[in-house]
Amino acid sequence: MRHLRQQLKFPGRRSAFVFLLAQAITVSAFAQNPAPSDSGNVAKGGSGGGYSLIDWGPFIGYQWDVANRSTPQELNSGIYVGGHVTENFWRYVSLDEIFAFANNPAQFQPLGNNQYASDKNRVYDLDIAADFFFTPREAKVRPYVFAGIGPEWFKIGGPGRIEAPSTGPFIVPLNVVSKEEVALVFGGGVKWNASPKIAWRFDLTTRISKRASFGMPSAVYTPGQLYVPSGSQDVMVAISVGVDIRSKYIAPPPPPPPPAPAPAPPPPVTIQPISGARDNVCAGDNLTLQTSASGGAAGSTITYQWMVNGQPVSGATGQSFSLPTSDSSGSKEISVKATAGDQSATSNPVTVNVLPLQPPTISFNVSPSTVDYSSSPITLAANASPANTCNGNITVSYSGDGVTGSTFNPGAVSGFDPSNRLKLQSRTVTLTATATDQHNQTASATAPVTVELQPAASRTDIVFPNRSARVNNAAKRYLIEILTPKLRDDPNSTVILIGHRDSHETGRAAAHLDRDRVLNAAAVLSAGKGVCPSLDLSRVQVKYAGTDQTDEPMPFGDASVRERSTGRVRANDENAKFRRVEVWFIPGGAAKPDVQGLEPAPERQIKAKGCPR
Amino acid sequence: MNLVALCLLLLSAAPVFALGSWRSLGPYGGAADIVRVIPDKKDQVLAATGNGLVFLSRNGAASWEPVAFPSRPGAVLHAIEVDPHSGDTWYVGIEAANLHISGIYRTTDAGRSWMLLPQTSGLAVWSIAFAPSAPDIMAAGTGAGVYLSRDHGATWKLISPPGDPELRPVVSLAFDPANPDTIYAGTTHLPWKTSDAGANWQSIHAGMIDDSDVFSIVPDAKRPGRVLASACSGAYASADRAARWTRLNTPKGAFRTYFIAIDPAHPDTVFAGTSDGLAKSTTGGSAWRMVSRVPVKSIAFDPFVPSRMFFASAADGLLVSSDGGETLRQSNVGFTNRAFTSFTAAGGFLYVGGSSDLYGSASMALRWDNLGPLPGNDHLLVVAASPDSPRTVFGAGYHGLFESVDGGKTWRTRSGLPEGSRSRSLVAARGGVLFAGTDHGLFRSNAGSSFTRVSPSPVEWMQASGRNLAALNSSTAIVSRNGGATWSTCSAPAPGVAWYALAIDPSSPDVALAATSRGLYRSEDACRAWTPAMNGLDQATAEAVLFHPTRTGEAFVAQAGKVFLSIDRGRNWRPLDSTGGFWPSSFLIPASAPDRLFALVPGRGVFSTTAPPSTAVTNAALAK
Repeated sequence: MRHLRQQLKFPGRRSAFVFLLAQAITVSAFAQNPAPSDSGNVAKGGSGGGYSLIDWGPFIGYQWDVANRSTPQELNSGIYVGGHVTENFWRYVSLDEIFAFANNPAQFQPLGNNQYASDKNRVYDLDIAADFFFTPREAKVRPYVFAGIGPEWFKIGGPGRIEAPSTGPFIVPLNVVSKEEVALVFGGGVKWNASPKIAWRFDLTTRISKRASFGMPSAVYTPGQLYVPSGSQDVMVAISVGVDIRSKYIAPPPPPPPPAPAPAPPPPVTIQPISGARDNVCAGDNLTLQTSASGGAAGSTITYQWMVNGQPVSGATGQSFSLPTSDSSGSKEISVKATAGDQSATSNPVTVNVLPLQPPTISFNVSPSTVDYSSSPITLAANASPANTCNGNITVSYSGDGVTGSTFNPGAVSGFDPSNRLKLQSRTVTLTATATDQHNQTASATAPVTVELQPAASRTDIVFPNRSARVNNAAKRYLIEILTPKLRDDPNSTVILIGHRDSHETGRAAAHLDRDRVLNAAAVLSAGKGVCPSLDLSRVQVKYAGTDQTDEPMPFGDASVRERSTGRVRANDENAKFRRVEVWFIPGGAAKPDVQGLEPAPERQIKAKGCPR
Repeated sequence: MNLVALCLLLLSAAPVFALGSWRSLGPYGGAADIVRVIPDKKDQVLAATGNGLVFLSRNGAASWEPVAFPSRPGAVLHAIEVDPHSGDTWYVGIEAANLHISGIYRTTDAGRSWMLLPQTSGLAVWSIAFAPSAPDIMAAGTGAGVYLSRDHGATWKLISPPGDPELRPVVSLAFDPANPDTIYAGTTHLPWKTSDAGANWQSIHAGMIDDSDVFSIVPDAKRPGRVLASACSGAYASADRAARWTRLNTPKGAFRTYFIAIDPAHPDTVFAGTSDGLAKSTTGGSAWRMVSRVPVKSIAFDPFVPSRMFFASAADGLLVSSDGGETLRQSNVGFTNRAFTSFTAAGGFLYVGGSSDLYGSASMALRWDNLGPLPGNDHLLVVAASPDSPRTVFGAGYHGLFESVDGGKTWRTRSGLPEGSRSRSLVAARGGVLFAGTDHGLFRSNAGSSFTRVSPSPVEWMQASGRNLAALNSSTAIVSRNGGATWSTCSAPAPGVAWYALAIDPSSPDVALAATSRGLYRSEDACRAWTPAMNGLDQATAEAVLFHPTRTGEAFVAQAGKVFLSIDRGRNWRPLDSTGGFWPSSFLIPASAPDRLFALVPGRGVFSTTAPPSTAVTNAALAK
């Protein structure tokens, strides 16, 4: 500092103050400098480039004194050199410390002389100025203006160095001293940041200071005396070009990784229409709805929320949704919302109508409603109809006494006395038809059926060989093994025997075959010895029909009684059926057949037959 | 009482089996047609009757209990067989005029439930046989021919020529012991045979008397090729698989041979059941002797006791031999198949009759005495005992009315009824009064005097209750409330109904109950007007009704196989028990046993149950 002071020979405290103030401002500004990597400013900058915090470097130019032409004192133009230190702490404002030196010989015009005496003069400037740039510090080209202040030291050569004018009076001043003034400096220029390390600047600088008197009086009266008029200024204009070393370079922030192409906005969530819906579904039926969605931020998980009638369904958060159908019937509007991150989409609603389960309807009757015990089975046919489509396939089952499957067999109805002793039995049973639909809903209808049992007389024909009244084994089988037990079990039952002969059985021997056949048959029933049972003949009535075949014979070959097809009766004997005895069994409760001409069994004649072989 | 009587009393007091709460009291015996052992159950024997009764013994025929077989009106039971591989599976062959109930019925639970095999419905089944060498094969002889099943009865196929007039009805059937394709079929016109499961049939009557009704065919399991047969013409044997028969020399007169059977324990011992009795041969059939004169129709050998065998007879019921068939004894406790038509009680005596003999019991049916038929072997159809003298018994048959004063031992004719009239009902009242309901009207006799006609309408049924009398036929009913002095006609309960019984409340004679073809009716105005008594009853024929003689308001009715009780004069009814299949024709409550209700079931004899005191039965119970 002392060396510098000596070199610069700051003449006074004022100049020192100004310089120190300038330094203080510089240091302060540097201290307050935002972080070198003022990425914020850079980010706000327009150029996108880097910048240096401190530029420094020399400059060279030419300086003129433009204010004192043709005045008693003037400075001649001369080389202008110097150096800058610029702090680019702000984007558009920099602090500039300028040290400049110009060789501007001084010329003095002695009084009364029109020639000038000259002396060497160097002007030393030490300014601090604020540069105001029109582009930010990151810019390549930065035009600017500046203004500042600083001491200006005119260092004259001194009395020993003054060169007298070539003519005219000249008195060598006794006192020629250098002078220091405070100069106001301003100007403009352009700075070209050629590279991160080098910048060029072109300045036009104007300094205005009080004219340096150099110790000379402001007025003289003696010709040849040098003087410097007061009240005038030195206006030094310099034009210079300089090169700056850019230091503390703040590189431009790496280009933001090409905003990874500014992450293309995530695709919107799209949701597929709900599938699986049906217009109508039955309560309790399963209905699975499905959807799928895509989109949303990469890596995000798509979640679903099913809604029914606008209300979210707890737990229904998957792609599939089982619509509850058991809880209630009616129309249900279903939609689903798919969410991925902060994006979502809701499907179009679908409407499902839940039909209530209603049992089918059924009507059932049995016609006729009164049937005979021995009648053929009746196929039951109820009429079942669906109440709605939910019934689906309806099956009908039947139940009740005498029912098997879908058939009612009157003969299978229980509760009938098997003894046949009663004239009439009846029982009314209730048959039930039950319709069951595919949901196991049932409906039933009943139909009463009255079954009546009236024992009836039954007839079996026994046939005889031609011109014979012998009761053969087949007939005996019937009379002894079948008819006799019936007569035994029903003591009030009776028998009617009606004898016939064939019209081809002619002649005297055959004349009473009808009677003989009856007597033999009665004898088999009543003899009471040998193989013959002991039927009481009071239970037997007889008739001899001769060749009268009005009562239609049973066909030969009928399942009742048949004669062997060899021996005396042949299978092709078409007249065998006429050689017969009608054997009527009348149960105790049955009505007698309408047979005319019945007689009591002739007991004496029958007993005379014994037990026929 | 001597030792024999004591033994008989104890035997008859042996536990008899019940139908629900009803105990069977006999008189036991009657017509039995078939007997079979259950091969895998010791001491179990089945018996069946032609009218559809099935009985089971669990103690080697010492006693019998009824099996709930669904016998139907008009049905004839021709066959019953036990599945040789399952003792609980039985098959019954039925023929009925109503073809829809004909067929084979099967039980697989020892008779608790039965099913008509569907493919046999409509077939008149006469015989059933199992193939000894093929467990699933069985055959049925029917009125239409021979049917074969290869799946234990599930499906059937006619294997005899359809419509063949000769090969039917097939009344007997047997498989060759070693070859299930060889089947012997006996018809009422000689036997037939197939050797190829029915593809071809041959008549095998050579050596057999013409026109033989073949009751049974028995291939000898231990002598291949030997076959025995029984027919109406006698017993036969063949040594060449029935190519030719030789008539066996069974005892003379014993020609109608219902069965022939080889004792499995003694291959040379052969039995033949004939109309003349049981014949036995110990020489393979070459020589015979009669061991019993009881005509037997069926035999079963005890597989567990070689010397024991069981028999079914047409008149003596079920018999047992424990000595290899040398002697037979009746064993009918619990088995009854007699056509009883009437019973009465007086002074501790019970009489029951029908179809043949009168039975009497001095011990309220603990023991029965066979009092024999009426004079002239007339069948005793109706019986009445005098309340004044229990040994004074009146009996009516086909040919007259008779009176006994010694409890039925001797009889005298009671004349005075119109010639040819037949008494169908009798009521003996106090003071020697006798009412006879005949097909010529109702007659009254006072203390042995002649009869006077009280009413011209035929009478089929009568009942007395104190001084109240009711008499009816199916279309008309008359009542007397003064001991028969005067009679009035009841109005019909409903148009077209048939009367079956009429009971007058002894404590309130204006109240009457009518059992009719259309159900039970009740009158409160001396049978002028009737209302159906439906509370607790079915809409079904009621066939017997009775007011308790001493317990006010208590009444019984038989309907649809059950007996019902009322304690409010017939307004409300409840089942006396839950058992069905019980058809009493009449009830009886003896004055000497007011807590016992007796019922007469035609064909099955006398039953009794306890009639609980009405204090034990409340209206609340009835309302349930």
